[in-house]
Amino acid sequence: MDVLVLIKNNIKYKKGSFTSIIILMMIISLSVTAIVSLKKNFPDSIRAAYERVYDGNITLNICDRFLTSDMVNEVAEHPLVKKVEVLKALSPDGFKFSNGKEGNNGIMIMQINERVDRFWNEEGSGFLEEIPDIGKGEVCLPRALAEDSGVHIGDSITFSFGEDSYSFVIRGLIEEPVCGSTFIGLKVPFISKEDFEELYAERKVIVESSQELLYDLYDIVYISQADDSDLSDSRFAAVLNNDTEMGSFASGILTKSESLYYQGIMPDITLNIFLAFVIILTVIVFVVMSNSISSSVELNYTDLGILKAQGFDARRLKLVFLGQYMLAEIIGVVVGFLLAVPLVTYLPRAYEPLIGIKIYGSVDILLSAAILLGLLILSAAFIMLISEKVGRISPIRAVSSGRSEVYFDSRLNVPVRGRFLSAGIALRQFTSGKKRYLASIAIASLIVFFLLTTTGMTDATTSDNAQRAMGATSENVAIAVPVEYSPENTEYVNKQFELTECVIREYSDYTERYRLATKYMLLDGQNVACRISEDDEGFVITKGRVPRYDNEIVVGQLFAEDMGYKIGDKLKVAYRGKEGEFIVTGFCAGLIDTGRFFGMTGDGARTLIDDFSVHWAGYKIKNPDPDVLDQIEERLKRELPEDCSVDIYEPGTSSDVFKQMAAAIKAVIYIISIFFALVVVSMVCTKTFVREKTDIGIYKALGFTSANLRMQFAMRFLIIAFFGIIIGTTLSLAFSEQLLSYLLRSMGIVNFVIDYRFITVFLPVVAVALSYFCFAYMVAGKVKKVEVRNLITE
Amino acid sequence: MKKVLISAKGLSKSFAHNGGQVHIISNADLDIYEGDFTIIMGASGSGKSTMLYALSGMDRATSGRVEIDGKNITEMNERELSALRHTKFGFVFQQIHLVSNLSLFENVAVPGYLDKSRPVSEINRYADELLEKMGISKIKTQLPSQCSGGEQQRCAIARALINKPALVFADEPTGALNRRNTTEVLDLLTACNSEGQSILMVTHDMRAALRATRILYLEDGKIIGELTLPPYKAEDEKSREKQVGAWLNSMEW
Repeated sequence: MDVLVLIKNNIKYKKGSFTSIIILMMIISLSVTAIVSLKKNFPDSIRAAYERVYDGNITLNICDRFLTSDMVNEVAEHPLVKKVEVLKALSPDGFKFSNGKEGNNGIMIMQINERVDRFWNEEGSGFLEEIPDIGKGEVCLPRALAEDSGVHIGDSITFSFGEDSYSFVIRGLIEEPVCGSTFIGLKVPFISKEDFEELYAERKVIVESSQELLYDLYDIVYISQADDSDLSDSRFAAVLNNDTEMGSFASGILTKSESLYYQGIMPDITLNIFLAFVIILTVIVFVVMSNSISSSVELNYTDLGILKAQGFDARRLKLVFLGQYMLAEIIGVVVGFLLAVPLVTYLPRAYEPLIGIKIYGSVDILLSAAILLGLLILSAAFIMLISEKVGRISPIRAVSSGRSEVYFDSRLNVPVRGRFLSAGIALRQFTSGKKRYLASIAIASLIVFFLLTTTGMTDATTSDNAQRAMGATSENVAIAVPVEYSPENTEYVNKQFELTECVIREYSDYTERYRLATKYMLLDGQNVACRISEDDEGFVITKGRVPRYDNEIVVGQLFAEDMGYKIGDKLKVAYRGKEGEFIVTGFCAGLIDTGRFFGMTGDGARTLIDDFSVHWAGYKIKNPDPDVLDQIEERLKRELPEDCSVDIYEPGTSSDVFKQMAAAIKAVIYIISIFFALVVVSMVCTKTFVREKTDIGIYKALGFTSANLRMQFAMRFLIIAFFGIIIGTTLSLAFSEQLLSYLLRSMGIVNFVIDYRFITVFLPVVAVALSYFCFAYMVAGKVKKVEVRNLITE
Repeated sequence: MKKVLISAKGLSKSFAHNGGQVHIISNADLDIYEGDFTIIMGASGSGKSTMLYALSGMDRATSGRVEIDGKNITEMNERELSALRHTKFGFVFQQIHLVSNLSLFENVAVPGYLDKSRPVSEINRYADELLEKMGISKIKTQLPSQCSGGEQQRCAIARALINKPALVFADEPTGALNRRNTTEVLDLLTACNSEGQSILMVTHDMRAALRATRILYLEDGKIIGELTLPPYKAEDEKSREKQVGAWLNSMEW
């Protein structure tokens, strides 16, 4: 009872600290519950959507001209295979929407079938109860494709096959769980049976009568693993590719696990980033509690001493601290948990347009509760540890005079001068109570560290230097010459490249050249993207060296680590019936298929592909001024033959989807950080204010105005922020890249590089400094209420 | 004819208590003159300190006027009061109230820096001079916690004088000091007064009262008696003690 009375009174008269702990724990609980639930809901929903319509383990795209019935039979008769299903598809050269947006996805047009049974409603909140009929001239698109292109039902899409084009009106947006996500390059629109058969027949005639090798007709092969086989999808694919020849002719092979992985990659990365953020916030909450308890012991030294003199032992006093803090924490945790329910329901809606799959909105009660309970137990132990100092309170000293403030000279003391008086006094207040502000400095450091890390991450989307270091190319001018492989065409393509280089040199010069091609090949039995580069710049090597000879390859570092490949290993590479043994000369960075790729030289590719040559070249321009780029574009478009396409990229351009997502993560983290800064600064300020009430009175008696004193208060927190900024920036320089490399590993990034630019550092630093200064200034408004008469002793 | 520094008319101060009003000062009229060492005495609870702080504008009077240079303090806003405190008044408190993280020198100089019309070098020089005068210049770099109570109070007096105030208010400045320190502080205040500094001090200490040139006796918030004395001389202390003692007895002190 005695303890309860003390807890009740402490809460009654210290509502500020109590409320702050509730708010901080509410944010932690809300975030933990949401992250834990969503980390389960995303993969579960994606898997369920996939398994609801497909039972295949491998989806394989193969040009119809390569697929023979023998190949199909060979696969079907393989002991590990349960079922093989082949569906026809049409692959256009490109597509364009009625809003003018051109697509850059690979497209496989298919005939509508019973698997397409989920049509999104207009609001995008769920599915239509009645499946609409897809009539002649109509198409249904995966939702993510439509959202990414900004088109709606009623707009149209035009597919181009060589000179011919075919338009369809968008009838519906569908859930397409195999490759519907924005993060998978291939997309499958569905048209009516009548349209498909007509179009297929028309294209078949054209393909068969053409002198050129046309790749309009495709087959989509679904392969299911035998029930008694328990191989992983990738292992199953590897065994099948080694034992049968179909795989080496495929343009692309997507296993079920790859599909699930790619579809869930962005939410997974986002949740990992937020999880790291929540861990830092939890550390901040513990620092805040430690600071709050220490300050309470210091400020209430006399009261606690009196209680001790009256027979309260240290254990009972510690129970008072434990009770009041745990009560606040439990309230915060419960409120946060309840608030997480709507958040978990509505937050996935931000991702559904990107994935096109309906995500569950259920809270993982058991796991969330277990984690939060663990957090509370940890917190209770921490509070008991921190409140240990209650045991050291001396009742005699407390009753006689209380614990007076004793300051010591500090080497950091700078004489208080007439000039910059407020700043001078603020600095003195800081240097004479450094230990008291350690918590605030630590919190500012952690916030700055995380804000810098987040800004570094988002800025990478607009930093060519950062993207280049992570393996991306950074071309400003790119030309493509889409012709067949033949010795004549190789000569023709090289001529266009030479012409392009001459034009570029007339206006500026290029500093890097990337003549690249990407082919899916079988590496050690697995269908993997192969970057073929005629130039060393095509590879960003993290270990070893670039491939120089026709029997050398480099492997994406993450892929190599996963597969256990080492430099010097000899690996079998196969492509459309040809194969060879290649030596691994190094590992490289790159974002192709989230790092799951390998690379070879043009000479290497020519050992597997007859008359191979690279038909795309990118150039990084020495002076990428928009005017210069415009002039180069204009000249190239005029001088290059019509079948060449020219693309211009201004520095710092990247995918809108990634940029928007990064910006959203940044915004959320900034908002939460600033809110945290507000709560923390308010708490520390209030305690400081109570402690320094007499000093404030003295300054007022000496003629200082409330405005002077508020400024002093705010300046002190600016100084605290300054130290936090220095430590946070140092931490960021030391660890941000490693943290991001770890968090973004699933994207294929092994060496995240932050391109520290002025704005990268400026924004977080200003955000923290301003937050500390403004919030301290706000809280210090109480200075007005301090009466000089408080100094009167009567 | 002495110049009036502060003039209070109908000064009242009351507090709300248990649903009613407790009147601490009731309709007091009072003038404080330039060059005087005025001391307010009275029994505990008579309203001495309340009077002091109402006159100095540290506390708002409930009604009445307190004029300095023709301006009514009771109507001044916070900014004007702040200006008044660092230009016209100096304060010495019973509990000393030095800023604990400023050195003795800084405690003295900081209020001086508020006066932007004076060069900093002059303020520093004057602060040194005052500390010298108070006999604490050798420990001027020390923090208050490293000094004795007497040294701290001497520093507080130097601080009160840094802006060459028209009037120093002292609220029981010897209340927290031992006998030796009390004498030292009173000697310093007397010396300041002999150099022309006006002082208004509240005390219940007979020894402190002996230093006054004018004693006001307060009872239930009203001034009921006044004694005027010649400037203090140490050799006259015995006779002065008798005179003041007799007067205080007549006031039923």
